[in-house]
Amino acid sequence: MTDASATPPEEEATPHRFPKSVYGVGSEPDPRFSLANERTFLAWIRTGLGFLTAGVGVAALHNYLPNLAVEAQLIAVVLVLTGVVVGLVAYRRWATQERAMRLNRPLSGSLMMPVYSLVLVVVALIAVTILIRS
Amino acid sequence: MSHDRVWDRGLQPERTFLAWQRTNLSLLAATLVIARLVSLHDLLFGAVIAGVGLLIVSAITVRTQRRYRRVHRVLHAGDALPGGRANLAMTGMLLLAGIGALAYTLL
Repeated sequence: MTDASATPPEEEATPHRFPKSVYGVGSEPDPRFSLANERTFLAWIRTGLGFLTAGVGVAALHNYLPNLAVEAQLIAVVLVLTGVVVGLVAYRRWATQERAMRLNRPLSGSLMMPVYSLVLVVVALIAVTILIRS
Repeated sequence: MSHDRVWDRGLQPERTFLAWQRTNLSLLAATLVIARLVSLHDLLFGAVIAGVGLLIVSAITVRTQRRYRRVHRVLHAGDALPGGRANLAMTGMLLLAGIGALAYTLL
């Protein structure tokens, strides 16, 4: 393990952190909140990866359900796209929340959460319907 | 924001480090699932995806370890936390996996 002082220069703490839209404004918040924001972002990323994996799993199913191949593909695409959207929104949300904390503004709720839940519920209902019918 | 004394800063860096590791593992799992399914159609391509995925996740894991040490150091020194480049990179990895998943689904 390398010594902590052997950190490469580009990783040293600088005032020019990325992205400027976040770190160029306001003041340093309590590090606990920044770390919590980072963990929330990572949890969203894991959720997005979960959607991706579920979509790929459904896509693999179409080999076993030849008469439902098109439906399986459609559901798979919806799941994968939802996963990608979750990831993109997650990063933007992390930046927005970090910026709000730096400016001492209130944090916003996520409008997308009901959307993701809806996608999950709809896909699950379709899957159950297909299973019952076949 | 609270003006109370910080109750235990020692746990936050660890929890964040573990969150990164969980995310790395999720990324690896998603990549391997795609690689496995692809390997049923094209063994070499599937193996390449798995190998590249392992390499990238290994590299991210090393950087996660360094990030944890850096956070620990700056918290005690009163310096600023690291920025969002790693977050953007992780988002990029998810996008990459998404493209791979879409490609598998549609082809």
